[in-house]
Amino acid sequence: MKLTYKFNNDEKNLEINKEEYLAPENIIVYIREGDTVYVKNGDYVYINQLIKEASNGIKSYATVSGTVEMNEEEGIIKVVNDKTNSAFVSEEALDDISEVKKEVILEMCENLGIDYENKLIVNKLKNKSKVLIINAIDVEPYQFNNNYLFQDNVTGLLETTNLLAKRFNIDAHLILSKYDDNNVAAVREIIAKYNDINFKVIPDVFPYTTNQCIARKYFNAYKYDDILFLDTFALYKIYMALKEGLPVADRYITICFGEATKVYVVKTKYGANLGELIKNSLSESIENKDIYLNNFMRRVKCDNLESLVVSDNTKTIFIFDKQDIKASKCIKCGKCVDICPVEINPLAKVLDSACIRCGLCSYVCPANINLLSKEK
Amino acid sequence: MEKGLLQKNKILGINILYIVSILPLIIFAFYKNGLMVYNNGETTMFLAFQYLIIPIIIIVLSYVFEIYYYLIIKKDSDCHNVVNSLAPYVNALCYLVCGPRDFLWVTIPLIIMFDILLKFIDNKWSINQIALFKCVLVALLAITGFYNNANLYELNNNLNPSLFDYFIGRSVGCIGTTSVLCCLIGYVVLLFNKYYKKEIPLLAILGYSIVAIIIYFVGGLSFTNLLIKTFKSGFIFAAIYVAPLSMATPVVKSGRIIYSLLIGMICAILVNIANFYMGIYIVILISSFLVPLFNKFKLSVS
Repeated sequence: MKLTYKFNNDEKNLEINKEEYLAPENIIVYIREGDTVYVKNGDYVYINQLIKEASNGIKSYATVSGTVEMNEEEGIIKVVNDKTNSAFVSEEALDDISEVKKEVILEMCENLGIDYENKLIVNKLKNKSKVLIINAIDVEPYQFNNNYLFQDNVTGLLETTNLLAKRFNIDAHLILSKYDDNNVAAVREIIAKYNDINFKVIPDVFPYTTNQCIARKYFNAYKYDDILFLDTFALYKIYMALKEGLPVADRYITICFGEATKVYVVKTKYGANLGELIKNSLSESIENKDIYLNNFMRRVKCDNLESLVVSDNTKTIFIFDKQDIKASKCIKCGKCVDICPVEINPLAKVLDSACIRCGLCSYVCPANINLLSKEK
Repeated sequence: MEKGLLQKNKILGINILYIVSILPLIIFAFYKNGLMVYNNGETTMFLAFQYLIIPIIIIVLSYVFEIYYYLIIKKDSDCHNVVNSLAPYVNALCYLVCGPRDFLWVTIPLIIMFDILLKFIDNKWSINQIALFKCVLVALLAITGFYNNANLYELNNNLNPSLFDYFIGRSVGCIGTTSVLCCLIGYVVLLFNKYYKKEIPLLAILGYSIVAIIIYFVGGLSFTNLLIKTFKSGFIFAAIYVAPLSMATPVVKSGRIIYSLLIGMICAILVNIANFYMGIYIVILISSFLVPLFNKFKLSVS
């Protein structure tokens, strides 16, 4: 896929390669204190089988089929993939979701306990949010997961949005990037069928596509707390819960070498090891590299990718040549203040609570100062 | 593989552009105060070339001191702070605001000492180093009775420069501040430096122009006279090089706007009504002290 991408006033033409890593050797689920574990060593598990439930209701499911190897000392549940893809099929699968009732939507979202985000969604739906915004734009820099997910499920996602708008009597707005030509064209073709959805295209300029910025710029008539934001993935989880009665087993993650010198979007399984994923699906070495998760501008380095697995929080992996970032004295050029999307002063000793931690201030700083850090 | 912008040594690039921006001024200073005087037989070849040698010595010495300060005193393990330092640029500007006959070789240790002194206090205060240096220098020279901005040629010949001469810089003034043309060339170079606060000179000149227009209509000064005073006073140099000095200017955009307009307006009054050209540096110095206040003029976040 080729697309135009704007970042920090630079326009780039990117070529994005799509890859798959759907048969990892094993998947890992971490056990934490208070978790209820439903499997034991040697058990055979199917895809979509519940493995554990956290104390806050978040449930973890097997995303591959195979034998369980438990290491309670290290707090690890490993499912060794037998590559048969044996899966549970739900009896609650529906051909048409347009007739699903409000209570069923809430129950499905709640019962599947898909993730913490969905708990928030359920609470917001129950508390009667005034407006629903489907932010289908990837909000982190150089992230293209939602492009692909949306492309794969346009009809289902629009159906779900329309359903939520109808059942909860809420204004629904779908936001797409105007540079995302394929999805914009696909939505334009069928949007007339979904008259409860307002469709809007905006420029995808980081970080102006974050929920906070969209709320400030386009929906300032509403209080931020009255808006229910759903990204494509959260909406897709609801769609899957209603349509298949199942949790989502796989997801897209973006792997970016340098600042988008090479970009891969990989479809993979929850729980897959990130180090293995890069080695096997991209044939790239990550030795002697600096790795940042989700937003390299926040400068939170990931020391050991081998120890990380795909989770809800794994959206983008940035791989840079190893570099020692040394900060020098601030020259008070004011670039950090000028670029701040929420108009705060990043040079202040204590960061304003309005900070969205986009990291642009550190990115433009000529003195390489990490302005998100407390030691600035 | 592309490294990204995380560790490109951006300040080194900024420094190069800053130094390049003052080269026209240094070259013109050498021409006006050195070559022209030498051609009239009023100085030696060595003294003519001092206008070229001294700024080079100042820039080199500034780097030597930076190395001493960061590597020996601050015990930094590498020299990135040295490479990134703006001190050579600032010290070279300090040289350019000296009078052409102000014991030039003495200014070298004076400028370096000034730099050392400010290094130990600049974290606590926002001080425009060039403006402060100029004020201290003029005060010292005025006390000792040596204050004079004419070079030997200008001193011995009764010159009557035209408006064009003032624009080119063939007029009495500090070493490198007389040429409006060179300042404008420098400004064009600085426009390529994305960390230079380029709106400050524009807004300062705008503020100055507003007041100058009022003076033109109310005070009865002719347009040519206003222009001559503006060029003669070195306001253009101060607006382009001194007022936007990043260490002593507001970081907040709205603060910068007020800071620049205020400087321009007050300077216009001091130059055109009070004929107090030195006031430009005093205004910039006082404004730099008020920078923390200007930084409070920011848009609030809802």
